[in-house]
Amino acid sequence: MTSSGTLSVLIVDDALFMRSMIRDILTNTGRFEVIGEAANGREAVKKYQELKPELVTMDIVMPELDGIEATREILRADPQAVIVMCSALGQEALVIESIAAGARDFIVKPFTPEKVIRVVDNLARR
Amino acid sequence: MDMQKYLELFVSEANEHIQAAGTDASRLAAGLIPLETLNSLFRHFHSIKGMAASMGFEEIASLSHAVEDLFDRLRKGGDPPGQLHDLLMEALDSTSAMVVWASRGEARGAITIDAKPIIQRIRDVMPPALKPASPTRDRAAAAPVSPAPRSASTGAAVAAPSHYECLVSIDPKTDFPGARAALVLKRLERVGEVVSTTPGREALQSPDFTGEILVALRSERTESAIRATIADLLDVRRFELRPAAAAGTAASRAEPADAAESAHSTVRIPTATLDHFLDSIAEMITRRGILTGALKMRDYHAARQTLGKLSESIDDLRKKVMLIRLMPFEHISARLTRSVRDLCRRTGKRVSLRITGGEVALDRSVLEEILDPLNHILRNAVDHGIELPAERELMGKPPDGTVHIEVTRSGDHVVIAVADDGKGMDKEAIRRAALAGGFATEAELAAMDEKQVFLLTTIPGFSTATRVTDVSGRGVGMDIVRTRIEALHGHIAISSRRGAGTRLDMTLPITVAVIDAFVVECGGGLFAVPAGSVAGVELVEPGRIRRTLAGCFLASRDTGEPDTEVSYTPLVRLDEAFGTPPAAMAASLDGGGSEPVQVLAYQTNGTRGALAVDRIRERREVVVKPLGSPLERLRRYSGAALLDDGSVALILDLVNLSRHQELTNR
Repeated sequence: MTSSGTLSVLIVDDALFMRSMIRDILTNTGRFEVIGEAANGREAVKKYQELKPELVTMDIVMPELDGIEATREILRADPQAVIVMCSALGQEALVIESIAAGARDFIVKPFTPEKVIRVVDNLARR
Repeated sequence: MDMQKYLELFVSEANEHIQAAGTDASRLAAGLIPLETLNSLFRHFHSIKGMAASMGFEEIASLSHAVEDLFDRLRKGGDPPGQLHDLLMEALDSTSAMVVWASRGEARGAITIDAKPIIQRIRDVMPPALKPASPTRDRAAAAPVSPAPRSASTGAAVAAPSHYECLVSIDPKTDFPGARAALVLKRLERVGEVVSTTPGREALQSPDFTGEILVALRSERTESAIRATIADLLDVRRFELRPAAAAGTAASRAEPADAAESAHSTVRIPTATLDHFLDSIAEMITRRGILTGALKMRDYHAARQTLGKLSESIDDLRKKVMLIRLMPFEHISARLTRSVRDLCRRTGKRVSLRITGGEVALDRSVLEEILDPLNHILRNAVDHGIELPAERELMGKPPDGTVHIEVTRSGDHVVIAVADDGKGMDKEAIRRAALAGGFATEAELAAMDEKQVFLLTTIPGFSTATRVTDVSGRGVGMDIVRTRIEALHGHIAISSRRGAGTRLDMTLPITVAVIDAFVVECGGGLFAVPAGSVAGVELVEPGRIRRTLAGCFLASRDTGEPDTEVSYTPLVRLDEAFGTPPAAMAASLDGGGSEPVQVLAYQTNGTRGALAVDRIRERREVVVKPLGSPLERLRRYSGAALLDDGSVALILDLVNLSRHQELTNR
């Protein structure tokens, strides 16, 4: 919990566009605070270790290191990490692979605030 | 949501991607397409698609989706269409124009750019989709040993695990019902063992997945505890839990049927083995302590000694863990016996299956992978090989046919032989069919020995193109069997006698993880030669090397005894792999040099040869890493070995290396 009682989030996506959208959706609820962003899997692993967010939204297709590998690395260091995969339509197989790697849940693009909030609120409850 | 706000971001980012894709496109025009370029183009269009969809720009999303699909298939090995560069440039132009249209904001009006024709052209030349994630990736994904359910292996007297049947129903309207189901399975694995699922796990990825899956679960937890585990999962429409009909039947029905499946995902370890691990670890901790002490005291001699002992402990533990991966062949015997029984019922043939050598152990993933090819071979034997009882009696054979699976261990390989006493294969018919079907020329056929003729039936398309299934005594699909076996770095050999029967010999490596190898240097590259296949190591005087039009050969040593014939072994030149031979060795091999050449003689799987290298670095155990796509298609290499200093040695597949040399020599 951050000082204002909100859940801390790290947003990982190689598109600034998507990061802004997710950031806005989460911040608007008043229940989440975005404490960091990363544009590829390698940055994600680094930022996770630095910031120790309570929740991570993870894009799958990214340069340098993809979301599934990043998920594995983060979980290897911190098995309690809560990671939500952000996937495009048509990538169900990759999402299933992410789940095998330890992702807790997933959201499918295109995002709507309802879709995103439903999943993150559910995770926050636990 | 206020989309206006994101419009600027969308336009600027989309244009960045379009620019970058344009730069990538210039690499396409050059001819050879680097994989990184394909990956990069895939990612760019994937990103544009995602953003466009979020903004509601359907047309941009559709076009980007088509291009994304195209590059996805290309990067996975599909054949590039002829006009790839032109197609891409057109797609980029259209995308760019559409982004300009989008950027006008409120003033944009209806879209005037029609992308449908270009989308259609892309879909028309799209190479076919290939199989999903290769086994190597999947293997990396699954942890080699996952903790067995808490008290299942302690052997202590705890409540016996119960068997449950869980009916899981996912809301089919949700985005990825398969992934939702995968989440349920992951949770269930926390509280027990998923013995089997109906449909199988592959169905989760299929677009036909109905959202319903029946799970056979073995767990010591109570029903309410199990229900609680999945209670918070989203989109689970129904979850019904009930004790399995009779613990015995459900389990035994499920277990043998999927013993191979569960063998792949979890391991049962005797507690004694875990105790051994703890002992090894205790030893390692002690030695580490001594090492630390020695370093503090700067007693480097003692430190070196202790490091040596610590290394021994580490190797010892590693060996113990590797052994757990081994499983006896008979683990799949029941399934094979059942297959034969079913086949007999369906075809009216009478066949008894005999399996010897069931105690020979293989790496469990190899065992899992050969199940399909074996079933296929059995199907062929019963369906096409073995005759009907009446026919057999007429031929003087016993009415019951026999299929004998013989498993033997030979060094670091296992040989699985499947022999039947059916009608055998007709060499002549195969030769005629090969000629007629254009699979081989007269000259090539004339040069082939019997085994090579029979192997013709494993060429993709041979059976269907030539329609020799019954005459050849083997059905279709032998090409798939061969591919699967070779993908496991194994080899297949066929022998047969008309009227008497056919025998398939499959040679497979026992462990895929670690091998004893000679690390050699050649032409600036590092290679690993499996020690189990090395028959001898020599420094050879150039005089013993004969260069002929058919290639290089190594003459056997002159033992000084009169009347002994000289034998010649084909010499393989590794320097050709990297194209820059160093002066000394090349000179000796090409004539004119006087430096002796370092040679390793090898023998494996009926193939003999000799390898000329610059020098042998050392002999050691190396950890085998799969090459992955696309390098795994280079059949001369069976994997890569990571060495201590971080360098990589390519592990040679000697049989394929010899074959390749033979072909290049011709």
